[in-house]
Amino acid sequence: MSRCWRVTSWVLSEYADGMLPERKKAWVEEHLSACAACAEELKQLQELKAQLHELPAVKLSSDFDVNFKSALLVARQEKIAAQRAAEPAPKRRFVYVGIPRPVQVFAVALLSITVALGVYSLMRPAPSAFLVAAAGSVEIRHGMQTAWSAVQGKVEIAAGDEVRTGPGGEATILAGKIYQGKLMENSTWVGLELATSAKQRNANFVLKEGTLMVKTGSAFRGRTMRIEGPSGRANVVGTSFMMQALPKGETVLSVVEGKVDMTGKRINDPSKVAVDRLESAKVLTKGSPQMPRPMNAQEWGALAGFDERIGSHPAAKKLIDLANRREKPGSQEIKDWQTVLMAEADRELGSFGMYLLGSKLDEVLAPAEALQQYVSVLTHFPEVAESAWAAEFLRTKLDLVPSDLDALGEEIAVAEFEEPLKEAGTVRSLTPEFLRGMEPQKRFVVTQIEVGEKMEESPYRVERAITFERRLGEKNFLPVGYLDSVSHAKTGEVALRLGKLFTRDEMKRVLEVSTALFHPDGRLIYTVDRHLRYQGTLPTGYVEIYKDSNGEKLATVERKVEQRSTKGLVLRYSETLKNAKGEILLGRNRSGMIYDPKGRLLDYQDELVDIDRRLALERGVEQLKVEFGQERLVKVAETPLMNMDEMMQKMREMHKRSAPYEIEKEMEQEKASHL
Amino acid sequence: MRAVVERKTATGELSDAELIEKAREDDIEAFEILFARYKQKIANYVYHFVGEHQLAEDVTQQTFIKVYQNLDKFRAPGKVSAWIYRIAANQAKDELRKIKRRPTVSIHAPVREGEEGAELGDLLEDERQRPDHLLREKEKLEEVKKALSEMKPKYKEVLLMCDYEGMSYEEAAEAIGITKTNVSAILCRARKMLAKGMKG
Repeated sequence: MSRCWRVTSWVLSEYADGMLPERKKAWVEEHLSACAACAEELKQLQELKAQLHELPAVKLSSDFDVNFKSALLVARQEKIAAQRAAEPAPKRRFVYVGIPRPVQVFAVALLSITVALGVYSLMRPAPSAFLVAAAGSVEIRHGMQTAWSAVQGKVEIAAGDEVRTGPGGEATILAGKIYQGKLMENSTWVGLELATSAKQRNANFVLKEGTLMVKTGSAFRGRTMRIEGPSGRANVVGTSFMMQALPKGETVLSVVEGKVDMTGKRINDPSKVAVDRLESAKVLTKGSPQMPRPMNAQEWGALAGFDERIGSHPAAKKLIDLANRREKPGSQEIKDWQTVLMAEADRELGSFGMYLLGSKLDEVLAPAEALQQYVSVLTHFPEVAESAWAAEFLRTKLDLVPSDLDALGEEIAVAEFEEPLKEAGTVRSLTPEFLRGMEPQKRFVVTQIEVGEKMEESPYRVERAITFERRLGEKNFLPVGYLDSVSHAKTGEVALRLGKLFTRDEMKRVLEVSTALFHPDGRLIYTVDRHLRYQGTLPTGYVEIYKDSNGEKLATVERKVEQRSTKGLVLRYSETLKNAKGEILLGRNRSGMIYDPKGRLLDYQDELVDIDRRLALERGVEQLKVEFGQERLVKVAETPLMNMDEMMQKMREMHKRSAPYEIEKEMEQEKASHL
Repeated sequence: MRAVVERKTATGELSDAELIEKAREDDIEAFEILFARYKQKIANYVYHFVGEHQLAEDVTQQTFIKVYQNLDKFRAPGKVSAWIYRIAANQAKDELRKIKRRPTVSIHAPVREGEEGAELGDLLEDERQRPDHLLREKEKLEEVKKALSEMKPKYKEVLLMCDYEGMSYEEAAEAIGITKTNVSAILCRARKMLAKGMKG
């Protein structure tokens, strides 16, 4: 239907909104009765308006109000602080009325105190918790007051009170059996809500600077606690933990027992990490929470005096006992427990182990043995290596600085790694027999791999023939490369895998791993360069660059871990797959929805998890998909391993199917046919 | 029409302006009442503006914090609602400028008003919930959302205020800070764009 020129869209739009003056409205109505084109346009306009008006309301999340209230309390506190800062210092003014000056001063002062106390007692919320000054300078500022007053002994505190400690100062906040907090030196804390009455069940604190440790008690049940740091916010559900507001505006949370959620305070940032026991997580200024990592030596040291449970880990206890008994250096028992410690180092006790090693084992272990332990842990735990304690250790005992570790790793990757290859002559001669003939420092066979939380039989047998290591000191080595033979359990097909490891850049937090897969006849099948990014000990994502035997780039996979369980399992990730030209073939957002390059929905995969592709390749599947129900592994599905050609073909096929909702429609049809 | 509360209500509730006045005197409860009164409206508006649930909640929260921080800047006899919408629109525009993301449909988007707990993701999972009419409705809804997401903020702002929130030209003009004539002109163009976007 062609457009009528007598009535403009603008006039029709105003007519539909009832905005035309009477005369014009009558004229338009007359025209509409005669003009089908305009009548049709008006109908469409009204339908459009109706559709817009019927757009669904958004369902606010259950914690929306609580989040807002907390943010509002912080904003209020900031507003009050700004007002205080802007107020001029109060001037004393006295008027002489014929009373001797000392009496006048006394009377006015008494009156002021009486009135102030009266008003304050009316306005002040019911006191319900206590502050105990334990050491040094401790000061309090009640509610809206501007002046700080020194605290000695025990005082009552109420919601809105602010407490600060000076150098060497320490204070304890006691709320019966509900919770207790310890405010360390140079800290400032505000108790916006104290959760101490039956009505008031939320605790809302602000840690402006310094360190606060909290232990919740038996009466905490049914209550919530929220602590705002400069950059992060902790949500507590019955636990023992420490929060630090660092001078740079960073926030660090360390948990001794229970679980505490940590969120950033940046707008548009839904990321949240659950910090489990014996873990720490940091939020950088204006940043998202980083992945939890094992607590470091400093954090252990700080918490050791606060929570007696810290030293109760069986391995830790044993080590402390050994240290106290001054066991003979090099005894079998110590060796056994060192093994336990190293095993634990992979889990929760790593940094505590370093703390113990630093503080106790020096006394009992032979220097070379202690050294070996130190170096092993340092090379495996970047965050420990970065600590001030480690720097001091490296300087005094090894005459190194932390960056030397990386430089040494780099050196070996270039020099010693190439030697066995030269010896082999050609790729063809890199057979399992050749590898077995070499003198390996380490040899192990992988027949099982870890999938989620359970071990599964691998269809591939991976035989780690040799691990290349760089000598560091007399007995210590840094691993820098490996050669594997990979054989399929059913078909017996063999391939060789050559990996180059640990060219690590601590500053960029990148671990580079290059792997080449060879056919036993000598053909290079493909190479993969992986750049793994780290926070603490956990990889947060990686870039894989696949290249063919001529070194031509085939594809790039970029993956970012979006959410991880407290045990380090990947729960959500985002992923893009690019072709050699760098064009995005597939993208997947954190909700598990797949879009084509134009942003059109291709498929959805809610709550699906891909295990690390490296594991997938080792396991002989192209992709592992694991569904989770309440963080529990419920189903494992797999697809067969593809070679690069098949993989690229599949990508091309998927790319063709890029019409909007095509896959969804297909699924609809499929489902309809089953009904 | 989603009526905009401004005057003292028949039940004796405080008007928006009175709540603002009390909040200025550090009455935090008064501000919480104002928040409760407008949070859903602002969240709806912002959600359709930015197209993402989590972002909408964040922007809504940020809007009310801004309102709180700037209580002293509100000048009567201006309408409180218009002022809040103006702050919300500016916040939403700022965020969109920051992210410039591709249009996406959140799996957590509620399917229809009033369907408590029914999210798009639930329906995708449960085939019994997928009769044809629901699919068609969903498709229509998706078309509107998609077309909205491709629209420039300047047009989206007016369109949502007038056709979704049901504001008059005067109210929208006050909230955005432009003339009534401009509202009418932008609205007309916005509707055309939306219709074109839905067809395309």
